[in-house]
Amino acid sequence: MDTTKARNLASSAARSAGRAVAGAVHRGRRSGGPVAQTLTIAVSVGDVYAACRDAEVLDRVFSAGVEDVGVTFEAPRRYRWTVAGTTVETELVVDPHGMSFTEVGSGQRSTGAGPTGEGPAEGSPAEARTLLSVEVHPAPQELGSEVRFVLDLPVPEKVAGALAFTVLYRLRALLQTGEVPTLAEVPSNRRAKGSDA
Amino acid sequence: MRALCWNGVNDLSVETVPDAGIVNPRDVVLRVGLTTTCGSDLHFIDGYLPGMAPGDVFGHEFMGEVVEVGPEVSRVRVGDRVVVPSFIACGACWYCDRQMFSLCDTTNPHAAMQQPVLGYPSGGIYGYTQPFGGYAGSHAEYVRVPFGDVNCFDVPEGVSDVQALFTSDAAPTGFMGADFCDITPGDTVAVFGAGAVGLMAAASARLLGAGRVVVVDRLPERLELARTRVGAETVDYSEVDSVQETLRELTGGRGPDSVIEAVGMEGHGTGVQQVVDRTKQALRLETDRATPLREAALAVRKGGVLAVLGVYGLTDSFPMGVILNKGVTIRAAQQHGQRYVPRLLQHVASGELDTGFLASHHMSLEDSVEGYRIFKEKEDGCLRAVFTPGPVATPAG
Repeated sequence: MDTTKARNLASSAARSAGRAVAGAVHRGRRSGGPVAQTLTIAVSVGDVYAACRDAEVLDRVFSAGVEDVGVTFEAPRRYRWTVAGTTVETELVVDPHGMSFTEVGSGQRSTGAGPTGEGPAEGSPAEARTLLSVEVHPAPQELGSEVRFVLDLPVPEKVAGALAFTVLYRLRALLQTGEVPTLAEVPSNRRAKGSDA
Repeated sequence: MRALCWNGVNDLSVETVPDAGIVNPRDVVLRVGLTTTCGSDLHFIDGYLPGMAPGDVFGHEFMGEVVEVGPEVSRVRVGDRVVVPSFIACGACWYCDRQMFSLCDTTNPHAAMQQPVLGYPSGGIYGYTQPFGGYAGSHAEYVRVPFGDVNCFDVPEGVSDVQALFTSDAAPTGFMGADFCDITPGDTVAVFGAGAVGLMAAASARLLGAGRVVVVDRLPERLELARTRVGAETVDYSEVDSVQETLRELTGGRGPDSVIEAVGMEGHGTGVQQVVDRTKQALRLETDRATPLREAALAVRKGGVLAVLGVYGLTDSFPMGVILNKGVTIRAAQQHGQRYVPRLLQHVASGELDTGFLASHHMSLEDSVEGYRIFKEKEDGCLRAVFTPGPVATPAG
């Protein structure tokens, strides 16, 4: 085998392996519908809920993730989510099970959607969507809190699972260290503008 | 700044890239003093380890001078001469609390790429593929070090730059392997692989009280270093009929109490299995040539410890029956450098451990492409090529 063929073969194999990894990232994602992830974060239940009510925190952990998502505070219990150019107005709903950010619009809001992420109850307005549900319980052995996110964002299905994990990972990093791991301005010779992350 | 970049399989070049800078408030920026090749880099250079992006600056074993600190850095000061372990630790998570720093739960920006492969992602590392974080590496004039107070270690007076350099990765990795072996005084420890990590594992086993250390390799110059620098006995596997028989004979039929594997996925060897591995790896039907790992599993005595330091992907034909029926304990990890670096610097300062001899070739960063070539080909007795960045560049070959 000559050098060029060997190099091409190696490149092809590396690309295939890369695709396999990328594919594996998205396996386990249900076809459509919400995606759930749980991580343990070494802070109190109250601290997690407080962080999740803070639009600046949400914006920080959602932005520059797998898919760029922005969150801004509009009014008490009203948050604006921007996902790939689409704006969604949401209301913060708090109930005994947790909290959720549920789409509001046309005067209709789902009564069936809740923090566990199930879809609207039968007969409920179908257009009401819960973008994020948060459920937090004390973790055993004083490990902090078990935090369950259920995401139902208008993002490509193939990135939804990775996005949910990334957001929780970044929230854990922020709450435990005060920083979100980032690659902003990482030097390379890609000459890409902005973040390489 | 100037930096060594990965452009594709076996395609490296020294380029001008944007300078490293402070991103987060506890970051530190280092002017790289010395940075060195590592055998694990060869895995992605050769295309066996996926995940590099064209243009990535790589390199993960380095020391230098602090030139900038973020506003929340409290311990590290501009001007400090420091060494930095290759894995990035936050110092605040469950794993860092338990000194398993390479498993840090918060420093991998690309954790979602690793989760499906590993189940639970590792910490980030400098210049070692996107799934391992995508951080820029150390083969550059400057490098950003997150959580500077956790990851920068002052180099004591009396420890040279080149000695400090190898306490970044090769020495703590080797020391961790010896630590894994729970050595009791007089134990016999075999080390497969006489690269920098293997030599440091052998030296560390000595420090931790091993009575005998036997190093297995095939390169005469490396075996010579094992004898003269570490005081180890050596076995040239290419010169004996059976490494297993040789080790049994050397140990009165008992076998080594523990074996440290320090080779990794591009291992060499002899016999039919090595031919099978080479063929399958060339055809990309498996990621690893794991002959040394299998030999190490066979070599360790019943009830002994097998410490795995070599980097592997998805190894075929791992002899699990050997492990089970001999009751072998396997311990493995990427290096938890922050646990070991202070102790190693003291060992170096006191003269109990020398690391400087690992630097077989000193070169300018501008010549680092050639440096990797001779390192990969093991030309001219190359054990480690050490690069010095800076404005004074020698002409590229």
